[in-house]
Amino acid sequence: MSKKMIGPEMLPSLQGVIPSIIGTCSAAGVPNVTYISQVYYVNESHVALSYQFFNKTIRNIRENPILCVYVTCPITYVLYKCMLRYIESQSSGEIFDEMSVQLEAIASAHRKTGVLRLQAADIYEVLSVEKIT
Amino acid sequence: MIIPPTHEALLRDPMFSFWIGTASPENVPEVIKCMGVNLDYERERLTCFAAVRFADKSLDNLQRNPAISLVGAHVGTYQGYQYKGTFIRSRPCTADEVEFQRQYMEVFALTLNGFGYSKEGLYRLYFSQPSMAIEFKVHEVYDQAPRQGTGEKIGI
Repeated sequence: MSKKMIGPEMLPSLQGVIPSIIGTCSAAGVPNVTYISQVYYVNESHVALSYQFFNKTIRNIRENPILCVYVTCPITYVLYKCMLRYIESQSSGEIFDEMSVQLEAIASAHRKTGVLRLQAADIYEVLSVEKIT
Repeated sequence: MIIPPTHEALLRDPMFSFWIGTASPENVPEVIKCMGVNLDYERERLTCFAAVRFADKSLDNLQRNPAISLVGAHVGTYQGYQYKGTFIRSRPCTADEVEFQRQYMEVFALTLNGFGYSKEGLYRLYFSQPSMAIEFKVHEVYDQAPRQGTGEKIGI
């Protein structure tokens, strides 16, 4: 069963405790999969992804704005699949600043301080959310 | 494409977490968890194992768009690689392949348990039978370690 919004039960899965997985696809139809440190909650119908250094992912998203992201709740171990559509990149402002702070905390927890520097906060509309059972 | 010989051990290492990416003909991506990988003797083809309950959409995608990607990342160091290629075939896993998945999952879950994750939770999350073996020919391998300049093509 899928819905279009991020419910409160999903919020722990957006804390960066368990790394998330994103799938993108080029205009030529070639998929790409990568890990991402952070899926940031903006509001119930929008999230932001940290744009760090996943070059191919960014190229794909600019060609084809639909992507698939899996987030995992570290308490219940429930997996959620979210389909997203890219809207815009923000390299300053409230979301960017808060993501930078969170990303530093995640980097510190994973002993990657200084490596996971945020270049931009990419904003996405949530198209669907599906609990994987 | 010949996968580098150093990847033979890496692809069997339960410290690596694997995910499979496919896309529909409409270019909608899909990702599923992979429960272990087998590399063929010529180091050209990979066989990935995935639970049937996750795999329906991916298998449908592969019938209509054979492009496939597999990412593997070390859960401790984040050393990672992406294998891109063309789908060959899928079939139900053999008993030996199910046992391989069990052994992979046990070490994977024990390792992550050492990092504070629940072993039972991880089993509930990822391990499921029956499963499918998805075979593909590798055309390209990319370094995917989390660092600036990542994405370099490797292999022959």
